[in-house]
Amino acid sequence: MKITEEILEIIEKYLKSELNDQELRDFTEKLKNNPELANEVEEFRLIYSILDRKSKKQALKQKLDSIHNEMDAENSIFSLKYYQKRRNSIYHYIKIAGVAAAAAVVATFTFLNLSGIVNKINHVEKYNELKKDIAKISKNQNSLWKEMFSNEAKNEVSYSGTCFAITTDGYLITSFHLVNNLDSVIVSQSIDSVVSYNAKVIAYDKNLDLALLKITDEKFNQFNTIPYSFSKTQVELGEEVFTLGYSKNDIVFGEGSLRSVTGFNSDTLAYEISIPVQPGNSGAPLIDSKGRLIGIINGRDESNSGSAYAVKSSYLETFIKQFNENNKEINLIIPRHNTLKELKKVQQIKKLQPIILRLNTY
Amino acid sequence: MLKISIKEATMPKQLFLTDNDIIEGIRKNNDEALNFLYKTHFAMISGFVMNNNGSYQEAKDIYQDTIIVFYNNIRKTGFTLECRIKTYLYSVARRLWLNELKYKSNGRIDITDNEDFLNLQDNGTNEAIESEIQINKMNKSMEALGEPCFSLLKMFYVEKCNMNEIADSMGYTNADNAKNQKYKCLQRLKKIFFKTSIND
Repeated sequence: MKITEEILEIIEKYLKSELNDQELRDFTEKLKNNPELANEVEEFRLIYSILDRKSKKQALKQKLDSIHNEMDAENSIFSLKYYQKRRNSIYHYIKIAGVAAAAAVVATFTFLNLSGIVNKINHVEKYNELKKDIAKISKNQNSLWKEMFSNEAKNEVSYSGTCFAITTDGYLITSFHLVNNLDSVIVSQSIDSVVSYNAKVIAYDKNLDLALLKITDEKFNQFNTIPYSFSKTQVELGEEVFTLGYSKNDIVFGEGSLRSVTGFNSDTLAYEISIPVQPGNSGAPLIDSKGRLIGIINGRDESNSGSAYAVKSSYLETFIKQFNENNKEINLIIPRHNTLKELKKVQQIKKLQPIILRLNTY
Repeated sequence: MLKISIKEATMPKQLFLTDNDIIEGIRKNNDEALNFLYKTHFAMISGFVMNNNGSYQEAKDIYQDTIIVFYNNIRKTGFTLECRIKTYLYSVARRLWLNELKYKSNGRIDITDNEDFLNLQDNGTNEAIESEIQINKMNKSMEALGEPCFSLLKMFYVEKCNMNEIADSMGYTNADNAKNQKYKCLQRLKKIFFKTSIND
């Protein structure tokens, strides 16, 4: 039967016991004579009762949510402490193992590999983070060896990667494994000429492999605009995506499509994409054809060279929300205004380039 | 030195050494007890859900529903827990997740257990689990409605806002328009909800 809005209003009042005596008598009479209506009323009774229980559950659920956030925060601190301990012990081990050059080289690679521990890779070696080890490229094996046994060995290892702005006043996002526990890094913007700024690590989440930086340099003014927005919808398989990163001294464009909505070993934190990325691409934004940020590049699969991985932007959003909750005075605003939507790819890249920076750690 | 902006870890001020301490605490409205309970068992349940095709978000939802079942039950007079809290939570979560998997997969469900579980049959628990399952189905039905119905119904029936507030925040010209729209939405919601029941 057709239930009009008028009848439904009476049903609602009836179920909430809000009818007056006369109305109640009339309606009960109707129900007796109309089994179809009675059936409808019973169905609505269930709907109302569930909605009511859902409503009563809200307060407790909010309480649990705040406990959960607190727990997440504690966990990221815990894992950092754990990580530092582990790193120190590995370093110590290498220092005392003064053996042949070959062995030293092996040890060097082990050290470099472990120095950017991400949860996910503890049991798999094929997953490669994409920080570019400058020492490995610019110095020959000899000097690498010397470095291993000199006292400053630790300070001379340097990495480069990519980061990008999320606010015009100089907050940047990058991969945690690039900055680790270093609290200052140098970022360089290259449009016509290269300008370098000092930046500081403000917050990070090791599990998400995300870090928030802030340009602290006095000579930094501000970014003109943040042209992209965050993707709000689920990204579809096969979606065309691209990235811009510093796999060499100049910015490099790479494009491909979304291969899977999960990352390495079906990790739900990440997307798998078919962009041939290079070391140095870590921390680069992954943008879809409409100019929306869908992820942050952080690794590739060594055995399957076409595949790269990116942490989903929804986790970046969570990360920022959590940061805002604990830093009410800063309150970062997530970019919502997308000026890339209608543009051709070349134009999109031109607009994005100023806010994508090269990152160096020493 | 490293700048840590995320809140420093806080240990509960009070220690809850036994299951009974936790239960007593929750019965006395002690938030520390709830906090302790929540953090103690999350890893076990989230591990189970994520090992069985669940995402982190799904694991979190299932865990919170499980805690709510436990919380409401032990606060009822006359309810006694006849096993360890851990086993109780795992058994409840297992049933809730099996039910979710029914929606997600067609037919065959393989589940890998990492704990012992009981077939909880007391009335309080059964009823509470069924209620959570119904609420989850309601959530899915509401999501399927899309906007503006989702927000409209949520604000009125769940958050208990009044019609004027709703009309205001959703841009209806007056409360009557919003009310009419609300009833239309409710009809659609009922249709979707019962349609999914038949498919079970």
